[in-house]
Amino acid sequence: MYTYQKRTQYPIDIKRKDVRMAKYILTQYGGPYGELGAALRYLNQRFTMPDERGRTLLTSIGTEEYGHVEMICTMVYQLTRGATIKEIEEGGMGGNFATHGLEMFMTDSNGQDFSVTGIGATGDFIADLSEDMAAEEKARATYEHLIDLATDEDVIQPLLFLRQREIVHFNRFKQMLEVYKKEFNR
Amino acid sequence: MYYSGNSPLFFVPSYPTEKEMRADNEPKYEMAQKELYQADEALEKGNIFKDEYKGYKNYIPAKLKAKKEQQMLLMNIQAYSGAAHDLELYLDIYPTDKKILDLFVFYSKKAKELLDEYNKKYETLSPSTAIDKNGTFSYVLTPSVWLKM
Repeated sequence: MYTYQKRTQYPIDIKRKDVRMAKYILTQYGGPYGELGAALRYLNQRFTMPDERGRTLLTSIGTEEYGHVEMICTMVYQLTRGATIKEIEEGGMGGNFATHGLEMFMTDSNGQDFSVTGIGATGDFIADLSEDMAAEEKARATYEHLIDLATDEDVIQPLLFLRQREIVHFNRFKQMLEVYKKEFNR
Repeated sequence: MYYSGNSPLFFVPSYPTEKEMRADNEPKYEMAQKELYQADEALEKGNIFKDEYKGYKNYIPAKLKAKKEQQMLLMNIQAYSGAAHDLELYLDIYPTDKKILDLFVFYSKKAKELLDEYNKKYETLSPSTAIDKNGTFSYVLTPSVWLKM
């Protein structure tokens, strides 16, 4: 059972419109190293973990990733709030507007639709946890690109927070993998 | 939301206070001081275990300050529930680590108290604590997260 709270994990309050930045950040919604993919990956992999520790860890991190999906969407929403058609076009989101209007869609920053083909599900807990570590590193690298592109503190600060969460998750997956390798003699 | 300078703003207080932790359990306090960030700093940095924090280039996580009391309470909820969540991820792997377990119970309890206070004073964040507010289901009166300023 999932419960919900109307709050983010970290405060987000972006006051300055910036359609171009919204387009870039959208990649952490529907891009290959984004939060949606992370949530789906971990919550899908839970069922073949060898015991309750791995199942619980993947559930907890996967759930947190859904919170991050909402944070990313909040940032995109606030960056495009009140944008005119001209601003949308100039910001490079005319293509998105043509199909989806002002609604967000799960694409990367180039408009490529979200795909599940890159999500590992091997049924092997060693392979899956190793993939999860790589996924966290890829997300961290993406956040660093976004921070490099950002100019507004209101945008940079939540991105720094989300980047650090990737580092924490990487460490937890690494610890879980090491514990399992030792205990299961793999 | 992110300020520098000397504006008269509410700060997210450092918590647990030394007094509170000492009254509770001295060794636990020492361990927490040494190895963990306090809840407010953990929220600002994005993690509670000191040895896990890795900054990016010259970027510095902003000191979070609230403009009004309601926002301050919400930031405290974010800080304490975030601290509890970070400890939980660790406990998922090492569920018998007594020191971390004690700290988890402390932060988790504190987060719940703050959440109850917020629900009572301002607005409900969940349907389960919603009330009849002048004939309206109060959960619908709470703005969605992307509309919170």
